[in-house]
Amino acid sequence: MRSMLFALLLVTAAPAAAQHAEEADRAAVMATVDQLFGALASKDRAALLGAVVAEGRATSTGVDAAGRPEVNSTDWTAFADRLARSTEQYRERLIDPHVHVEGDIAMIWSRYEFERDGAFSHCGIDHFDLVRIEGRWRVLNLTWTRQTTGCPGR
Amino acid sequence: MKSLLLALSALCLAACGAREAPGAGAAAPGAAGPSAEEKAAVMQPVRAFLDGVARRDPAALRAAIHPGGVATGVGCGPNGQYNQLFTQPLAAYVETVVQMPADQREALFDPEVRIDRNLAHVWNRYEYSGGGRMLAAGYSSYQLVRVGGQWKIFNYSWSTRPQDCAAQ
Repeated sequence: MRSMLFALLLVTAAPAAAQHAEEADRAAVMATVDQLFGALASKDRAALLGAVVAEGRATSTGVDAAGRPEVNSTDWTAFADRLARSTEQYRERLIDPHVHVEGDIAMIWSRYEFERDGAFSHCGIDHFDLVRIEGRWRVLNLTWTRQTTGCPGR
Repeated sequence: MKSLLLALSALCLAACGAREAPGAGAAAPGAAGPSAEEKAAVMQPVRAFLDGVARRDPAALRAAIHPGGVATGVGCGPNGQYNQLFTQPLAAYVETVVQMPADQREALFDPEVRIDRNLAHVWNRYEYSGGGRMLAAGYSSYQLVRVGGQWKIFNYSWSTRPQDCAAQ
């Protein structure tokens, strides 16, 4: 009876422990995204650079005025510089993110919504690559799409 | 005793079967997701990239990439210590990877493909082998962009396992 009880404890403990670790990883990854989005809103250059790998890339995929596909990409230092010079208020939020964490890399694929000066601006998909170095998650790459029509609920 | 066993069983049923809530899928919410054809179009430069690495063919690698992105590995430092970050422009990375020993190969497993407009992502497990043994394993992430109707790898990043550093 005691060995059966012990076996049952092992069966319950291992998956529960694994799930707890998964949830902790996911929470840590999302906390880094929160830090990045907080820095976007507050235009805090140091907070932004503290949430990213500077040599990573912030990249938009969209279309130019003639409708041709266009890729605009900078490293995070240039992104932070542009943010510091901007005068509009930005706010971004993720909707129902899909997160994968495997060891020390992670990814997020998510719908996002973006506001400028308190009004809805556009939506799209964000994809984040994140890395964990010395126990700390940082956004490496963020690549996104952009649309002004067809946004859910708008 | 029996009631305690039942209570523990219930605990497992609650926790063991739980899954992450589904997030945004490969297309707009409510849509069916990318077709097999669309997925194959995204996978083509990824497979061409790995094939180009295996054949040490820089021209094939250049054709599979958009030169604006970065290649990043979380892996082994020069003294075999784990958790070093290596980042370099992807355009430079493709020139260095062809210098690696010719018998090393990377295999890709269970790719997940997501697409939205001109952005795609591939997430897969990989194994890297050479000299008849596995040298490294982990996960790869490819962010791709579509320009001129063609998918190109923009950013490429990967993990390795701590034990892979001891093996090298």
